[in-house]
Amino acid sequence: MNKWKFYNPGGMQDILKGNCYNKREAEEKLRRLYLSNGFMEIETPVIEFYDVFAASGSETAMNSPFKMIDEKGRILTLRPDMTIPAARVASTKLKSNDLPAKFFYSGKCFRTAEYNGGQMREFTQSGAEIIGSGSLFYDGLMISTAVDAMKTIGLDEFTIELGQVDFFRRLMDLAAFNEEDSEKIRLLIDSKDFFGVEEMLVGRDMNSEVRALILNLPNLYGEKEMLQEVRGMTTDSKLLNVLDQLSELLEILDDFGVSEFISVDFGMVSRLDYYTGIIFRGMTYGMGFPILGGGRYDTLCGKFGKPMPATGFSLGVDRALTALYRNKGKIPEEYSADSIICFEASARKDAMMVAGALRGQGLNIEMSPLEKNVEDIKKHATAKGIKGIIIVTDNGAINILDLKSGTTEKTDIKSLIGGAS
Amino acid sequence: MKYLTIALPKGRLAELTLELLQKAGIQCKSTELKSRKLIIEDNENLVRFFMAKPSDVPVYVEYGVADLGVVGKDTLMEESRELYEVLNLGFGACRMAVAGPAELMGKLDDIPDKRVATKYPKVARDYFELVKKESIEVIKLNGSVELAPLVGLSEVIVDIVESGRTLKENNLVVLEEICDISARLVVNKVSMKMKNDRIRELISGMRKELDNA
Repeated sequence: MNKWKFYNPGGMQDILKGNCYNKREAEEKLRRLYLSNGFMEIETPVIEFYDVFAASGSETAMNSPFKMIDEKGRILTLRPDMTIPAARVASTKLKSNDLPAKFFYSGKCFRTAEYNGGQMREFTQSGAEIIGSGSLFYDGLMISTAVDAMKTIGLDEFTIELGQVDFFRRLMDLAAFNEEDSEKIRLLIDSKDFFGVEEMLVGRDMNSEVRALILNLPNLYGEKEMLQEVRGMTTDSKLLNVLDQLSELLEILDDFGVSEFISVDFGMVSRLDYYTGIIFRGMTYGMGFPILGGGRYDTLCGKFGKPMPATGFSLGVDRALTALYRNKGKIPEEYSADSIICFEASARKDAMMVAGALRGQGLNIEMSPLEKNVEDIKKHATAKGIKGIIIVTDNGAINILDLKSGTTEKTDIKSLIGGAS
Repeated sequence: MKYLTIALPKGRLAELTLELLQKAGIQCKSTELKSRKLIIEDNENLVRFFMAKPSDVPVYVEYGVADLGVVGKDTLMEESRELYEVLNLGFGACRMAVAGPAELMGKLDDIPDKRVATKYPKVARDYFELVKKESIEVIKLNGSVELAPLVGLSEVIVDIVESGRTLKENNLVVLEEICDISARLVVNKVSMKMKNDRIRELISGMRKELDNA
């Protein structure tokens, strides 16, 4: 029956024409960006042992539907994420001289659709990680690189929003919330449900300063000036430490010259998974979901036997490009060859020579045996966006059709490629 | 400046919301609302409204084609989407409840693997599985849920209860209350940050009106 043979599985897509060309170009530009910052490219397998992801404690990773069983009965899974494999590599394959490791990657990841449909289950992540240093400078470097990555894609109106996981965790300790209640209120704060947060605090005994902070947490977001406001709300030394650290980070980002793209949200406590300190996400118009995410994950490498601090980010390339096309209101530029060379069978070798010479000049040249009439070739070339047709016939005569102006130029092989023949 | 787009649930909730927005300083001609137009634009204030099926409002907002939306808490619970839920608008108040024949009062826990008919399968499952820690058989219906226990399709139902009149007329009673329901203002997570100033202003304007009322 093979009735599914015409379709893609849900969340998987074919990427064609300008979409594919532009995506590869974007990935390549991002590669150059990371290389110029001294990062080293790594490639890890698409298939990993499930244990790698289970160890991370990441629910997103564990809920992946793409699991297989190998010949020994072990569970394999398609990678849902590139950070966890990067942490595994750094922890198991690197020597101390290699640290801090500065990795970058670009590759396909696979997940259950995160939101209820319409989201891709196969998508490309491009990102970078710094593993083996807890220096705040590196948090700054990751965030400024994230800004550069957004710009590299071509986006100009966007925000990178900073959060701090420790701030929320400390508040939960101070309020003596158990794990279950912390998770409940985390969801409420993450959805800025003031009403729900208020309800949850009813009848709970806690310090009035802590209560005020928790109640306000969903509202504590905005420009960096807000940090001062929050400082005025607490006397707890650990919370103040978090604020000091954020202030210093903002100074570093100022030095990087990326301040204008930065905002802060203390209520950003979405799916913490393996994140431990400063976290961030990037968003822009035209896309209702974040297109970039990252942060510090100081405990992840320990799960692979070598405790060390780390930070990183990854950009959803497909989502970022969709946002770009929507923001700029244009569809991606089509890639096309510059010219197509059509030849009669007897002129095959001449045509190859012409093609070689033109490619040598840096042009992209397609070859096609003259099997159709010229009108059909014109239609084909126009549809593909090819600008010229070069027809080579057996006596060395050449007709050049300029599809833009509609003119035809008659020449021959000698004058076209000069002394080369 | 970019348009602020607000998704409204067709019907009574939309009218109440527009009234509130008007008081909070956003104008919209009510004559236009009565027409069958799906999209209403205010070019002066750069606000755009559109009318959607109530249960679809969270979808439009999650995807960011609407920056804000108004939707019942019942729909939010059933859909569980990635949104900011910033304001309890108070109107459209009712309760989510487990209902059934009066003879089951106090005996609900005695029925193992009970069949629950509902328009809200997720809400029903979350309540019985996560709160009451028991397995149930959920039967999804699209309306007239009260019929199910009467004809023996299910033992009980999970539904919203406003006045309780429909239940009473069919000899059903509320057996357990799940939670209170009312209309909520929801905001797309990206819009909240990218259009921060305007949305904050709007929320605080609405909150002020609600506090005064």
